[in-house]
Amino acid sequence: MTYRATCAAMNSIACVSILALCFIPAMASARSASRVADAIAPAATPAQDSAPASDLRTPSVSFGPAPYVASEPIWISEAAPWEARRIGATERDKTGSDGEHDHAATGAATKASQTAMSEARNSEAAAEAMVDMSSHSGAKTLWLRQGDDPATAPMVKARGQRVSLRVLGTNGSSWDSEFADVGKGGMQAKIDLPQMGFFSAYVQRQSVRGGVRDVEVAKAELLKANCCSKRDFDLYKPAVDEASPIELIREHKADEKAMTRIQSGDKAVYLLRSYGKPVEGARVTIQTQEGWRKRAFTDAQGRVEFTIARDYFPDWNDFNRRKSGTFLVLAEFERPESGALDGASYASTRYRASMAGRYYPATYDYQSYGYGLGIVVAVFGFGGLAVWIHRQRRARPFREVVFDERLV
Amino acid sequence: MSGSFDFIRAPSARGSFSQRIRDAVNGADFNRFRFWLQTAFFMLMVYGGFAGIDLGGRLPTFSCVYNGEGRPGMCYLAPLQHQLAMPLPRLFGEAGLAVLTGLGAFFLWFVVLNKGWCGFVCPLGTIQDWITALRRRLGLRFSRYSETTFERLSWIKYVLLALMLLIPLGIGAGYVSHEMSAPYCMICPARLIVPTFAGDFRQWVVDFSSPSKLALTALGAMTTGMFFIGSFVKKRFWCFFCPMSAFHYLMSKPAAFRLIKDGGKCTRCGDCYAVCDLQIKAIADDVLTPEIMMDDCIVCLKCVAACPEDGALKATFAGLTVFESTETGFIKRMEKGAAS
Repeated sequence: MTYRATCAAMNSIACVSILALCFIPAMASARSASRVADAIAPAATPAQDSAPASDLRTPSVSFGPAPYVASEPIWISEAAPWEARRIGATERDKTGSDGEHDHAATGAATKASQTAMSEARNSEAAAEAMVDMSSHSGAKTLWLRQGDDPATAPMVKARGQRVSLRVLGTNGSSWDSEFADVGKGGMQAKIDLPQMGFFSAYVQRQSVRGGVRDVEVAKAELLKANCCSKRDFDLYKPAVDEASPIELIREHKADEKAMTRIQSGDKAVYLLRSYGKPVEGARVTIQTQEGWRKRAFTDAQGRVEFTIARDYFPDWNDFNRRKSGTFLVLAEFERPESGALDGASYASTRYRASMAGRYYPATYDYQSYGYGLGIVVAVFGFGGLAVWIHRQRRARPFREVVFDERLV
Repeated sequence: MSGSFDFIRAPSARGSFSQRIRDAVNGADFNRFRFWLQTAFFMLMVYGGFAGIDLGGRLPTFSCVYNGEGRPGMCYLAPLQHQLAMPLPRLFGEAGLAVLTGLGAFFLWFVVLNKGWCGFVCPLGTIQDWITALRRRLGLRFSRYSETTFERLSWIKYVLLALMLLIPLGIGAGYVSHEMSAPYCMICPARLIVPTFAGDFRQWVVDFSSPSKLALTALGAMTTGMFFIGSFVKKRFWCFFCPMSAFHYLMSKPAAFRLIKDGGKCTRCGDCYAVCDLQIKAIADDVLTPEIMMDDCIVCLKCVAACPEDGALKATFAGLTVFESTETGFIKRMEKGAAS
C-alpha cells in the first residue's frame, strides 16, 4: 500500500512538472503572437489565398480561453466519451484524459442503463441490440470532443457557449443546429434526421497562432436507415460539401447498405478534398480506440487506404460480436496562403480535417465455414448410411414356409 | 326422341366455350404444368429482388430473409419473431398494432392460395420436389412412414410453431437471451439453402460468438444435412415438420382456394393416397368430410389429378371450380404417363 501511494505521489509530481514545462512557454507564446479567432463573423483578409478565408461557411467555434487547447483537434463523436474506452481501462481512464469525472454524464448513463435493465433481465444483450438498432435511427446524439485519442479524448467544455453545427443531406438539403452545454460538463447536439440516407454534420473553426492560420473541419457521417430500405442504393451515397475548405470523405463500398459495418480487417478508404478538389501528399493518421495508430499520405486522387487492425482478443466467454470501437481519422496539410484574420496576420495556412468511425469484430473471428460445412456433410453422410442400413435390414431374403405336416 | 339423341352425344362435343376450357384444364398434363409453375415461382422467390420486385415483408412462404438482394419479399416468420421479441410493455402497447397489421397483411396474402403457397410457391418445397425427381431418375425407391410414426411425427410442426412464438416472447419478457432471436429462422434449412441459389454462401457457418448462437447455427447445419438426405428418400420431407405449414392450417378456414371431396362419388380406390407426397390417409378414407384439406396437406392437387372419378375431388376458388377430377382427364394422363 505504501509502495503504491509513493508511486502515485511520484507520478503526480512528475506529471505536474511536465505540464508546467509544456504550458509555460505555450502560454507565453500565446500572449505574444497568437489569438483564437472567435469567428462568428470572420474578417479574414487573405493576401494570396487560393481559397479565401472568407469563403468558410460560418466558421463558428466559440470556445472559452481554457482548457481549450488550440493545437488539439476537435472531432464529432457519435459515441459518448464514457462508451469509447479501452478494454480493461481503469475508472480514471473512463473519465477522460483530463481526469475530471463527469458525474452528471455517467449518472445519466447509469440511469439509462438501469431503465433498460428493468425492461429486460438480460439487459446487457438487450442494450447492445438497442444500440445496434438505434445507430440507424434518425435521432442522433453527437458529442464534440478534443484530442487525437478516441479512448481518452474528453468532451469540449461548454463554458456557457454554443457551437454551430451544419448538417448536409445527399439531396442537397442543409440546416443549422448547434452544440450546447446540456449540463453534462461538455457539448452535445441532438439532431433528428428527416429522411433515409447519409447526412454529414460539420463544425468549422479557424484561428491564427504563431503566424499560422489554422482551418479545421470536424465532420461526422450520420445514417438514417432501416433493414427494409435495402433497395434504395442512392440513399447510401455520402453527403459531400464541395465548398468545404477541407473534407474527409469515406469511400463507400460498392455494395454498401444500411447494415454494412466496418470490421477489423476491412479496408477503410478516405478521400481528402479541399473545395471539392483532391489533395495530394496530405498526412492522414488513423487511431483506434484500443491504441493502434497508423499514418499514410494521400495519393494524386486524394485517396488514402487503411486496413483496420484486429485489436479485440477477449476470452471466448467474454466475446461480444456487437462490441464496437471508435476510430479517429485526422488529415492535415499546409499551404503558403498568407493574409490576416481578425487583425492577426499569418504567413501560411494549415488545414486539418477529422472524422470518426466505428468498427466491429470481423465475422472471421467467430464464424467458421469449416464447421458449418462439416456438420452438414456429416449429418448427410450418417443419415444416408442409416437409411441404407435400415433398408438392408428390411430387405430379408425369401424364406419358403414349410408346414410341418405332423402338426396339421 | 331428342332426349336419347342428346344422351349419345359426347358432352364436350356440344359444350359451351367455358365447358371446353374446363375440359381442357381437367384433362391437362397437370404434373408438367405444376413443374413449370413451381419453377416460375422459384425464380420469382429467389431472384425476384434482382429485378426490383418488392412484395413486402409478410409473405406466407419461404422467401428467405437471408437471401439479401435476391428475395422479392420476406417470409413472414422472420418479422413475426422479431416483433414478438419486443419488450412486453411495448408489445402490448402501441407496437402491438404493428404486429396485428402484419398479421392482417399475412392473412390477405394467405387467403388467396391457402396452403397452395406450400404446394406451388415455396422455394424450399420446389427444391424438395427437384431432389425427388433426381432420386426417381436414379431409380431408387422412396420411403414412407408407418402409420404410427406418422401420427407421432405430425405433432412436431406444432411444437416448433409454439417454440417459435414462445421463445421470442420469452426474450421480450427478459427470460431468454437476445442471442436466441428468430429461433426458427436459425434452424430452418431455407436459411442456408435458398441464399445459396443466389450465390450467397454466408449462412454456411457455425457462429461461435456465444453458446446460444453456437447451438442454433450448429442445429441449422444439422437440419440442412437432414433436409438433403430426408428429401432424397422421403417426398416433401421438411414440409411435415414446417411450422409455417402448421400456421397456415390454423388460418385456413376462410381461405378462398379449397380442396373439396364429394364422398358420394369416391370409390376408395386409394389412388389419391398413393400419389400424396405427405402420406395423408384421410384423403382416401374419409368420405364424409367435404373440406378434406388436412393439416399436412400442401394443396399440390396431385390427388385431384390422380382421381379417376368425375367430380370426386375438386379445387375451388371462391366457390368456383377451377380443377376437378374427371375420368377422361385421368385416362389421358395415364396414357401419357404410360407412353412416356
